[in-house]
Amino acid sequence: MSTTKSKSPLLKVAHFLANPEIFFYTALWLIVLLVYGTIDQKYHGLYLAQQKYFSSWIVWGIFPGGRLALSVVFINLLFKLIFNSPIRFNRIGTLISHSGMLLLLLGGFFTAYFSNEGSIPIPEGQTSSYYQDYNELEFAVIDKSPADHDAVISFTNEYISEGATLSDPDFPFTIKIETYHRNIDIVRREPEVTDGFHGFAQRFEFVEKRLENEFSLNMAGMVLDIRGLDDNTGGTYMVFQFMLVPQTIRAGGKEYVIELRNKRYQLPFAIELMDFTKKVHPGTQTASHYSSLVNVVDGGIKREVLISMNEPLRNLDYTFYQASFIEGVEDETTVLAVVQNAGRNFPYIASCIMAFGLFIHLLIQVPKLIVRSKRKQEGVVS
Amino acid sequence: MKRLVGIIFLFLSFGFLHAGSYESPVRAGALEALVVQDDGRLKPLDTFARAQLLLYHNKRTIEKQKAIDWLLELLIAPEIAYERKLFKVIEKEAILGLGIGLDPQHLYSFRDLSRGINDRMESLRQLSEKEPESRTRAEIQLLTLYRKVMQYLALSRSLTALQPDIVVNNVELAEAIGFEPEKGYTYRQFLKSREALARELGVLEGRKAGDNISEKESALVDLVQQLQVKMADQSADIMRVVKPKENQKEGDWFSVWGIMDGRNFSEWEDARIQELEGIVEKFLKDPFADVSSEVAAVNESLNIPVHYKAELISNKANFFWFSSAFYTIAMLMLLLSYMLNSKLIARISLGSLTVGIVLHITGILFRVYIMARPPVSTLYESIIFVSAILVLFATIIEYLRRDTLGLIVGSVAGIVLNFIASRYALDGDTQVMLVAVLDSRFWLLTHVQTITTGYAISLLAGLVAHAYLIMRLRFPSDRKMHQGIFKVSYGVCLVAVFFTTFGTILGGIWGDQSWGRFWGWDPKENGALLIVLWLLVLVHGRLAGRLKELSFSVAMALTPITVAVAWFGVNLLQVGLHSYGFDDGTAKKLLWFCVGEVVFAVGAGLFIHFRGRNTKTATKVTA
Repeated sequence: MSTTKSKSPLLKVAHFLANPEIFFYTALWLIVLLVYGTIDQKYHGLYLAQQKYFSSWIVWGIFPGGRLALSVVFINLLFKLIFNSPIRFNRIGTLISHSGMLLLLLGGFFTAYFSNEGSIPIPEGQTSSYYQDYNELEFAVIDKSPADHDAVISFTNEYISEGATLSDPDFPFTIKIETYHRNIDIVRREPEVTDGFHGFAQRFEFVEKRLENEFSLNMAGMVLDIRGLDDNTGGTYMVFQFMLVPQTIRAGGKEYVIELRNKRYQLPFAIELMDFTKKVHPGTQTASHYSSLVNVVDGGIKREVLISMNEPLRNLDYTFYQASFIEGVEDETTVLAVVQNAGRNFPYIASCIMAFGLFIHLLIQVPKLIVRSKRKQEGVVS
Repeated sequence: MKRLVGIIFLFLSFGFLHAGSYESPVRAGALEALVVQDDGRLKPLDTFARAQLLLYHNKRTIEKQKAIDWLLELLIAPEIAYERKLFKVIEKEAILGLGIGLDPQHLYSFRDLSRGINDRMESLRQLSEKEPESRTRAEIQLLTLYRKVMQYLALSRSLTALQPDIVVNNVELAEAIGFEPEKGYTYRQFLKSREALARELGVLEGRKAGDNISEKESALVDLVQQLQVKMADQSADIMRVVKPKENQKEGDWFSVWGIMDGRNFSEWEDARIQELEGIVEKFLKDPFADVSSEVAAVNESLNIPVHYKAELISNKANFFWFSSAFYTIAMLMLLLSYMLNSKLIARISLGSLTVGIVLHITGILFRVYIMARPPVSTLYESIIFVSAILVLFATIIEYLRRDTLGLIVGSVAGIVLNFIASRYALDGDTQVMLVAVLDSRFWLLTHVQTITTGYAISLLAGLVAHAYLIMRLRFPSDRKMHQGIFKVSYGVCLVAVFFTTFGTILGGIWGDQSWGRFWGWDPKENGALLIVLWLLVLVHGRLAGRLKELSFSVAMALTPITVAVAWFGVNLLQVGLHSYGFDDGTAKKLLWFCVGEVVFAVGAGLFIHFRGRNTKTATKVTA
């Protein structure tokens, strides 16, 4: 590869992007992030540290986060494969393993953007067709008036921030988020306030709390100012995660329920729990084995599947794992973990390719490098 | 031929060092093969004895006495064993807390300790009721020692129910309950005829103190007292020697006393107990008795395969100790060959290293056979395995190159890693059962073996880089040698990339199989990724021209830090703030290791760099 002056500027850029030096420095930076982020997990929990260092574009204000760094590696690798991969016998191994790596990163990209995970609790005998995210929230406004279904409009994380206004052409009212905290304590108001406060807000208020290390233990809460309701019921409302009593509002003659809840994902099929079984170690309360017998209900077709600790159910892009259970008085509730990942197969294919490529590279290179020291005189250091 | 003679000579000299002449007052002989259940696993009594002895003595043998002989002595002649200075107690506070004078060798007998404990029973009881969090360090040590002594006492009482030392000293009473007078019987035998005994005791009921009692009745009271004294041993529940009829692998085995809880024995249990009674009787008559046929008969009732014979061989052969010994010889011979500039001695060194690695791998294969699982499942096993892979590759490099590079790297690594492993082995039996999660998962097991191999080869690459730096410091002008070593470290680095990358991905696949996520940025995953990234930085830095021969070698010499962090450091992170003692020590050692490596590698690199510059300027000036 000789650099001549006739090279077009575009090609120059392409060759620059293919330079292994980019990888060298980016990987060094990734090591810094990796070490710092891992130690931080001890202090801020797995989820937050991961969000901050590994799943972020920017970290510490101006520095590239894990996602940006990996994207740089991806681009570098892509350009290397296109513009800087002469097909030669002794380079064949690296070519293959680099292609595998590209595929692995691509799979990571798919997983980061097109995969969801959460859990789905189903009591015995019941059917569920949605699952909920572990950490992400949504604010839902549910119109109960249609006879056969609930009309739901939900606002995801991006919409939820202090001072934001939530509105929809279908709503005869507007909602303004007065305060929003990711973790709260509930304390009683002394005395109660009735003037302009409604429902739960009349008797309680929120106090912000430090975030828990185990992120799913946090309980979010928000104070809302809702205008445009019937009969002068506008004013302050409060909702929080895991709230048992629904808060209702009336507007335009219709009743709506407002909820702050874990984000829900609709499944293209339903899961019916027929039976949940649990075995414990003799003489202990420790579960040794548990499993759920379920029906996968797709249209009119029912398919029976047994989900147990190491035997997940795979259907379409979804995988269901036996994660936990809730013991009830009469019925037991199974808790299945759900992962939807379109990029699930990438790592399998990518790792096979990479392993194959690296192996070939070893076969070609290593015998040249580890040789009898007497022969080294003829050896030329590349 | 000369080589062979040399090796044989060394072998013999080690044999002499090891041999000793001492008459133990008992000899267990074939008893070592008796299968027991301990720590969830079936194992020969020899392994049990070693683990128990280790607990009290910090070693698997007492001076000149085998663990199994010590155990037999404790069981049938406890009076001798109680006097032995066996307890190794380094914690001064615990000893002073018992009011005992300090021993310069930190060794104390059971008698010494139990005397101290008896005088302080009340305060020890209060101490054990105190909240664990509020105990001071000295109190924890005292309590640990107290429990050890109690366990030792319980262990010594394990077979007392089978010793025929209960005597009925009245003819009338003996006849009434179907025994012979003036003859010793075991507790078990009385338990079997307890109905007759209960009948006799019924007669005593309603008697008041001061009433005249017959000689027979007096003998009965005496007998009951003897039985009550025996029953005090009922808590001696450590040695599980009585196997159940069904489900011997997963089901609970019983200790001799555990089965004497008043129930009626099944026919099976009765037969098992009588077999053991026969062995005890034989040893009580003759402490040097040969019990091989009796032990074989006991083991015959096993209905699942237990590889106890292999385990006995493995225990005796002490493969890892001998492999360390041969690695040490290899290193000494190598140094000698440098001094005398002798190729022959270098060859002896290579022979010794080869014998060492063969023993080392044999030891691992024995463990694989005994436990019927892949070589690496615990931290201890990972160290032994890493050590073996490292020495194996170093030996191969030596056979390929014949310039003593493999010899020096292999012997040093083998000695150091085997030593670290031996420290970890002090926790007890090293062949432990695993929690269900870790057991029988194909991907996890594949992942662990691969990544551990990756650790080994990364360490090897780092060590070769050390050799490179040392050679450049020592022989600055031999460029050809430097380049040769450099190429080796680069080649080994490529192999390391293969194993660490593949191992890390396999870990991801395991994660995907078990809980649906390929990668979760979990500390252990990140540790593995750290090594991969570091090695990739090295390879690509070289490719991009960022790292020259010297800077590459400096960076390569730092690779062991990433391995140590992934291997040991990550565990520390997960242990949490409440860890103290041992893990505290590990953290400190890890830190010193990292600091030492940085100082050496960077220091050597800078020194070589500036020396090179100076010589260049000097040459210019003279020119």
